[in-house]
Amino acid sequence: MSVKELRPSGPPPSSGGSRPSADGPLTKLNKAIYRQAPEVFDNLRPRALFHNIYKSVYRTTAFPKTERERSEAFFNSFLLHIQPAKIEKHALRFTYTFGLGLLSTYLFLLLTISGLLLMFVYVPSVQDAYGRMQDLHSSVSFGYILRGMHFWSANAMIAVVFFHMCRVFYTGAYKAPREFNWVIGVILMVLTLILGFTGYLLPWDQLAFWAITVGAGIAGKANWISDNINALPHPPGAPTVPPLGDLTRWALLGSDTVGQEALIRFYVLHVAILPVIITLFIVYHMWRIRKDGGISSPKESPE
Amino acid sequence: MAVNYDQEKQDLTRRNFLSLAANGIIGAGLLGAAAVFGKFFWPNVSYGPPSKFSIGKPTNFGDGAKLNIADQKVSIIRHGDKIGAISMVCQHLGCTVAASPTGYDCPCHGSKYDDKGNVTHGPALVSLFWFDVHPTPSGDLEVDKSKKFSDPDHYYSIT
Repeated sequence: MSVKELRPSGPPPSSGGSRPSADGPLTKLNKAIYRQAPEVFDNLRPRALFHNIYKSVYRTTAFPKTERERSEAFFNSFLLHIQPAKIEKHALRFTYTFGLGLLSTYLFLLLTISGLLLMFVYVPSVQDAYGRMQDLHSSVSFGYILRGMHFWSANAMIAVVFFHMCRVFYTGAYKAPREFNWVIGVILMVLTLILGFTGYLLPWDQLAFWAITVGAGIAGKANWISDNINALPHPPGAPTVPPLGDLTRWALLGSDTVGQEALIRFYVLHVAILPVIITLFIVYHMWRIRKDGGISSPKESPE
Repeated sequence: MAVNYDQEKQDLTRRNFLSLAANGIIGAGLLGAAAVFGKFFWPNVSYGPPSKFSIGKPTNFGDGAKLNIADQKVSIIRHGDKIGAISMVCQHLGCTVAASPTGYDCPCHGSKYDDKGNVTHGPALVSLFWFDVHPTPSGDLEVDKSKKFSDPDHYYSIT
């Protein structure tokens, strides 16, 4: 009876020498990947690669074949999803809206971009502000056209917002169910005007200085309200309303006169606080357009 | 994995051609905008102090003087009849060195230099720069920081 040796001692018998390994490390890796996930190589073929990148960016097929895929190209796209699912024919006529709302949005975008670039040069201090504004004209490449873009876009935006308001009025788009969006629009117009006013001080030239002096003086005229209330017959010893205009003016300028405090206040309001607020209102304004049933229609208000 | 694409739709149809052309125009526009931004972003002028500045008459400095001009980060030294200007920017990582009894010490990482700006203690490996000192027609001395020397002893002799 022989005992079978389960574990042979010593090295296993040679089978004629080790196989010459022709594969480099990269080939080995590729083979390993192919064994585990062969679709990787399918996806790396140029057409499939392009299609996969396109689909990951746009969330829809690059080559829509069916009607459903064509509409998905709209619904799934961030930039296109603002378009309504269906639209009335009259709303496509350019002269119904003159594109004024979209135009003011574009101007706001342009102002944001040009304003961000201006912030690279501008310094909000009474010593440097005027010099930096002049440097934009002389020593910064494209600085003059950049400042011009910001200036003219700001002026145009105020005009376009005003005309947009006229259009909304004449087409009756302020009526139900869009009343609240009209209110939002009025807030947006006021924010646009305040942005224009705060930006007016920043060049720190004579025009800016005296314009803000006068503007703050107008705010000071709110004393008229408290003065008139205090002039009403009242029992002796009754508390009086504080001078509202003086307080507003003090809060606005941070001082008695237009100076460094006013400049830094207007700067922060102009570049940080007001743009964020107006962006939130613009987003809500646009959302309400869709939710209120798209653009107004003559059919909605029977004469 | 089956890929959902249609060979036909990838031919250069009119629609695909226009789409390609539009994307090309947008791409070219973005490239142009990036180039314009680069040009705008590049500083054309310096707001720093001028590279040439006057240090007054040579007689302002007594023998052995070591005067620190803080806003220019330059130390004016006089050894005998010779006046030199040594940069006070540490050669290690650019901190401003402080004058010390043995020369100049850097407060950031402990580099030490002797009176002529030679390294006596690391981590700095290179000695401090010397700047050109020359007289102007008025008789004042002027330091030109645009002319700098890596080796010491670039004095201006009074005599």
